Amino acid sequence: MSKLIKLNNIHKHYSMSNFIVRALDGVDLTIDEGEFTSIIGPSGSGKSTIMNIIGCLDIVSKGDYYLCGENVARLSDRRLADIRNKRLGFVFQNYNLLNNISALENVMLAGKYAKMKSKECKLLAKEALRKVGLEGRMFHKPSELSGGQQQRVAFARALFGNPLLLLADEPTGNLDSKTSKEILKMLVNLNKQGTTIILVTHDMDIANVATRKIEMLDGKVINDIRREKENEIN
Amino acid sequence: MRLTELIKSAFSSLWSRKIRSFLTSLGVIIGVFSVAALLSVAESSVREMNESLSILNSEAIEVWINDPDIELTMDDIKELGEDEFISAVAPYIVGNAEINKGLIDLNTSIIYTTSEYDEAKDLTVHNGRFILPIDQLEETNTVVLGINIALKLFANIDVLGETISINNVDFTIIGVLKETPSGLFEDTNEELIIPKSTAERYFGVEGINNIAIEAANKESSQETVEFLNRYLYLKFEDEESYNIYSNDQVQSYIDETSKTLMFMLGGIGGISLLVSGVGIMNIMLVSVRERTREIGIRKAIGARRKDILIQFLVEAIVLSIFGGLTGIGLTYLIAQPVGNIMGGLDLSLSTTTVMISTLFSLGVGVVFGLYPAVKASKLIPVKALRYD
Ligand SMILES: Nc1ncnc2c1ncn2[C@@H]1O[C@H](COP(=O)(O)OP(=O)(O)OP(=O)(O)O)[C@@H](O)[C@H]1O
Ligand SMILES: [Mg+2]
Repeated sequence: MSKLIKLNNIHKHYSMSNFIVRALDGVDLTIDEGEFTSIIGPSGSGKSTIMNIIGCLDIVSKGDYYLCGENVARLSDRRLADIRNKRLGFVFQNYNLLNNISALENVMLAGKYAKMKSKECKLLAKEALRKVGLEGRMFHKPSELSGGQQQRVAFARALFGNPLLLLADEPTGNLDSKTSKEILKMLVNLNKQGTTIILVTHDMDIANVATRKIEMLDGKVINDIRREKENEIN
Repeated sequence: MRLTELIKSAFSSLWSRKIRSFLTSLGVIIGVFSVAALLSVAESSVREMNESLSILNSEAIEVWINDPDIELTMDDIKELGEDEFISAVAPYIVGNAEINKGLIDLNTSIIYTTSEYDEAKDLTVHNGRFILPIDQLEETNTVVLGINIALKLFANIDVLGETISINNVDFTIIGVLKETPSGLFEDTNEELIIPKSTAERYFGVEGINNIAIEAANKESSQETVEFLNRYLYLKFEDEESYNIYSNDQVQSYIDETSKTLMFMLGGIGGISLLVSGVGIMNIMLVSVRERTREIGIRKAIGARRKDILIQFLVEAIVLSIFGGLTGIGLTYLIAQPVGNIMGGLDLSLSTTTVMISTLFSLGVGVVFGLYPAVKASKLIPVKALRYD
C-alpha cells in the first residue's frame, strides 16, 4: 500500500498576546491508502487542528506535509482547491451545510465547483443522497432537517465524486447512538470499498471500530495502535 | 464554478436579502437617475444651441467696429474684396425705421448696405430681386423686405412694385427675402434692406461700422479671420476697437461650453453615483463578514479563490446594474413629462446617455465590489470555518 499522507515534524502554533499555544507540537505520522484511522484524545489535544492540516484547510507553522507525495506548502491555491474538491471529503461536527439552499443543492455544490454539467451533477447528487437514505428530503433546507439528517447530507456532500480520503471530525458527536451506529456502518462499508478514512472521536467504542487508533495529548501523538481486522459494530 | 452558476447563485443570495439588496440598489438608482437626467438636460440644451447654429453658414464672418470715433471707408471694402480668401464683402449699417403702409405703422430694424450683402449673408430672394450695383450708383428708392415684414404689412408676399413709406420717404418694393433662420444677433426676417447710398442721401447716414464677409470656402475661414485681423490692426493699431466674429469661432465656443456643461452636470450626478458605490462597498463588506462561514464551507468543498472573488463581485455588479437599469427606466418615465412641463424641453434619453449611465453603474459595481470580494477570496478556510 502506498503512502497517502506523510507528516514530518508538524508544528502549529498560535501566538496569543503573552504566550504561545502549541496546538501541534511535533507530529510525525504516515497514513497509507485504504486505512481506517481513528484519532482520540482529550479536548484541546489538537485533533481538529491536525485534521484541518491534513485536509488542506490550514497551514502549518513548521514541518512538511506530503499528500500523495506532493509537498502541500508548494501547491498553488488552484491546485489546493482542486484537491479539496476531488480527492478529499470533509464532515464536520457541526455539519457546516449552507442554510439558504436545499440538501440537494448542498450536495451538488461539490460538482459545480468541479465545473460538472448541471444535469450530470444533479443525477450524481441524487444518487449520493439516496445512498445515505435521504431521497425523500432532497428539497428540504438544512433548517428543515434533523441533526442526523443534516449530518447525512454532509456525508453525501463529502462523498460526492468518490474522494480518496474522507475526513470526519466528530461526525457523531451530536447524534443519538442509533444514528451513530448507522453512520459508522456506512463508514465501514466505504472503507471496505477502498476509501481511506480518518475519524476524530471522543467515543472509545467508535474509535475501536477503526483498524488504527491514534491517541493525542497536548499536540503530540502518544499512542498509535494498528489492528488486523475491523471490529464489529455492536 | 461556471459563470452562469455564479450569476444564478448571486441572484438567489441577493433575493434572500431582498430589502437590504433593494436599499443598496436604491443608492445606485438615485445616482444613475441624476446622472441620466442631468445629462439629458445638458444634451437637450446643447442640441438646441447647435440646431440654431448649424443652419448658419460657417463661411460667414462679421467685422464690428466698437469705437465710435473710427470707421471704415468704401476703399477698405474694395481692398478687402480683392483678397483671394474673400468671395463677398458688404458694408452695412443697422438703423431704425418707422414704416407706414396704409393704416399700418411699424417700427423695425433697417439695413443700409450694398449689392453684395445677400451673398455675404447667404440670403436669397423669394421673389423679385436683391439690390443691384445700379441701385447703389443711382441711389434708387428701392427696398427689399424680410418675409415677416411683408406679411405684417400686406398679409401676403406678392408685393413687388408696392410702395411703402420709410421714415416718411417713399420706397418701392423690389424683392422679398426667403425665410432665413434667425442668427445669434439678428433676425433677417424682421428687417428691411435699402441701398446704403440712398440712406446717405435721405437719412444722413454716414461711415461704415459693420462688414459682412463670406470666406471663399469653409477651410479658408480661419485664414480670412487672421487676414482681417492683420488688416484692421494695421489700420487702427488697436485690437480693442474692433471685433471679428466667425461662425466657426462661435461653433467652437459653443462646443467648448457644451462640453463643460456636460461634465459639470454629469459630474454632479456622478457624485451621488459615487456615494452609492460606497454604499455597495459597505454592504458587501458586511455581507462578507456575515457569510465568512459560508466562504469557509465553499472553500472546503473546493471553491477556488477566483470562484469566491467572482461570486461576491457578481453580487456587487448585479446590485449596481439593477440600480442602473432601474434608474434609467425611471429617468425615461419621468424625464420626458417633466421636460414637457418645463416648456417643451426635449429630454428624451439618448443612446449615449443610456450607455454612459449603464457603464458607470457597472463601473461602480466593479470598483466598489472588488475590495470586499478580494477580501473574501483571501480568507483562510479554517479561519472562516471557525468564524461565528
Ligand atoms: N485560532 C486559534 N487561536 C488560538 N488557539 C487556537 C486556535 N485554534 C485552536 N487553538 C488551540 O489549539 C488547541 C487545539 O485545538 P483543537 O481544536 O485541535 O483541539 P481538539 O483536540 O479538536 O479539541 P476538541 O475535542 O474539543 O474538539 C486548543 O488548545 C485550542 O485552544
Ligand atoms: Mg475538535
